[in-house]
Amino acid sequence: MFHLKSLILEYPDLRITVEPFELAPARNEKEALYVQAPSGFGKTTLLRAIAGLEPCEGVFTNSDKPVHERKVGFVFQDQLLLSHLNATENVMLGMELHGVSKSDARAQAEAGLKALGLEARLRASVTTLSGGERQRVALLRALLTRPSLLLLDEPMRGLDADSKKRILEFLRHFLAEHPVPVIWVSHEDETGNRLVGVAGVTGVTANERKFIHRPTSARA
Amino acid sequence: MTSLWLAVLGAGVLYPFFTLFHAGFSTSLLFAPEVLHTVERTAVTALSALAMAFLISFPLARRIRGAAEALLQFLWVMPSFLYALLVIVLFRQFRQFDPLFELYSMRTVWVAWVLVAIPFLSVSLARAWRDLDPREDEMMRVLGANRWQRWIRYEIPKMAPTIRSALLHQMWLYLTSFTLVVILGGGPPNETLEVGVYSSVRLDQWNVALALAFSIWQGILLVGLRLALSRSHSSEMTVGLEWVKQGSRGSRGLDWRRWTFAALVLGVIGLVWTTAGLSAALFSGVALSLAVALASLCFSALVFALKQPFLAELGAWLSPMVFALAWWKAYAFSASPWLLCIGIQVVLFSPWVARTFFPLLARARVAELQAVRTLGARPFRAWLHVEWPRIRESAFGLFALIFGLSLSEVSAVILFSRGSFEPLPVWIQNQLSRFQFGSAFAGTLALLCISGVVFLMPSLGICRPRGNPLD
Repeated sequence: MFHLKSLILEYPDLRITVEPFELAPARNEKEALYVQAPSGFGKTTLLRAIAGLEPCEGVFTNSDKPVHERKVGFVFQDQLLLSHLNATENVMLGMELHGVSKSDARAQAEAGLKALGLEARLRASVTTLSGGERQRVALLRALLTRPSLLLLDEPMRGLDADSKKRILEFLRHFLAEHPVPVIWVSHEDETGNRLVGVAGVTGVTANERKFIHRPTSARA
Repeated sequence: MTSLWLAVLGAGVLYPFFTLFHAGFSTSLLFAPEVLHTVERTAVTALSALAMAFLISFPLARRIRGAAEALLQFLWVMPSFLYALLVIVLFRQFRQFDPLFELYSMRTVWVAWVLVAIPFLSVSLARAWRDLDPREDEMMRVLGANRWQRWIRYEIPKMAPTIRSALLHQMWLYLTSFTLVVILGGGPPNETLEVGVYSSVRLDQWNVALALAFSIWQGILLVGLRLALSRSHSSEMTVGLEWVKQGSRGSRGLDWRRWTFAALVLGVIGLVWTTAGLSAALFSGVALSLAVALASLCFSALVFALKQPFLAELGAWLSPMVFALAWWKAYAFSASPWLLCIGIQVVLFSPWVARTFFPLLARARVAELQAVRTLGARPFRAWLHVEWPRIRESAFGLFALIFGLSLSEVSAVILFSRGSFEPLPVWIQNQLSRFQFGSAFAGTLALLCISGVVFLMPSLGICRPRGNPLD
């Protein structure tokens, strides 16, 4: 379970606040919390703050720990795969940093990559992978660290239908076995809970932005 | 026809190396104790100096920024003579306290080599630090990596190509280092392979066979290094150029550059005025360096136009002293020393030009060139209008860099020097060998001032064409 009691991000001309919410482990992608707001509203900044990459005031699960101890799985918008490592090594990296032995990490990484349809790209340099392949590697790297919170920053952006389908299937399968709270920044019209970004509502000035939690039932 | 010219050129460059073998050389000489000992001394001194310089530079690189980095870049292109004089001054001071600081030994050379390498390694590594993507570092933190793990698993592997390339390149500079070893080593037995070649053919010794033995070992080491450098795609040779490029952006800080420029010019005039014999040496040195810089750019452009880029890389496989020895033996009595020195330095410096210039030339704006051609411009006029404005700043930067390098280059010139031809670095060298430290210091200062003047020229727009060439 992920608890957020308060979160405030302060910038010289901007203040972002988040209303309290609780997030149960998702058993499929529909149980994820979708963050919906216009471009430039601060969706990615919000994820970065929860991961500990952005200075903020707030009380939420693991907010008192340094970044590397928060056990967050973050799939970045542009993947950030390391170019000096191949596809398998990129996936292994996260597990090795969490104390998994090299041989176990390799076995799990290769099995995961095969399940994602990348069996022919195990040793490929990540610079030669397509956008969809890179996204699959990045997702697997985040998932196999067994995070206590999964942050997905537009993981489907720019992908073809086949890549989207593969990623969704894999994620669904993974979450069914290892439920974990998921916060998903997306422009897609997904069903599920929403963290909606609003501006200009009562008590919010032009320089303030607010994320309000709206469960599916309330939205309907 | 082009192939024929290339064959003639290739034969002209390489033929002298074969003439060296007609001097009583036998393969057993390669394994003579004296030769092997010089190989060992060269390798051990260079490797240990490299290790020490790296240990100092690596933490330093993390901290240098802005003005400190500009200063280190300037120190890197500073004439070797200045380092030599600095070490002499230091050792003279410390020798009073400890006999370990004995001048004219390999220990002195080692200290100078460490000092010389620090600016180059620091600047190269600082650039590599800066090129690291901070988002990737964040990703590592999110994955659970602590500071040490990020350093070992991310930063070092990412920087490895630059580290390898910088170390190999510095090793190359050590092995071809001449001035520092000649001055600080003080002659046999405190010399490296590069200086061993020179010592073997001095009039008091004259042993071409021994020089050839040193040359072959030098060649083996340099070819090995060259191959390793080629594999690591070194681009570090252009590091000195950045200062010029940075200086030419915008007008911020232009005032101090104008004042520095004026001070340096006045400094040169003052030094020439007060130091006997300096003016003739200065004239020869500057004239030679100007000719070398211009010819290097022209040669590189020609090689690029002929689509034979390997010719520009020829000098990267050769040791300056060995090259000079071969040409000196084959052509010294039949050609002007001016022409020979220009030819040798053009071949030696062309790789520096090619590595910066060729990628620039290769990115020609073909569509714009064609557009200007359709307006009625001839090919050269179209190039002048479209390409020249794009590359001119780099061309002048390279001109300055080659000029500065040529100005303090000794090993390619020293064998050809005579009464009527004594360029500035050879003159300084001769002053030092006569223990005329005052004159040597004045000459070195003049060298430094001229280097500064030339490096400031592009940033002040002094040697940059103004306006559109077609206007």
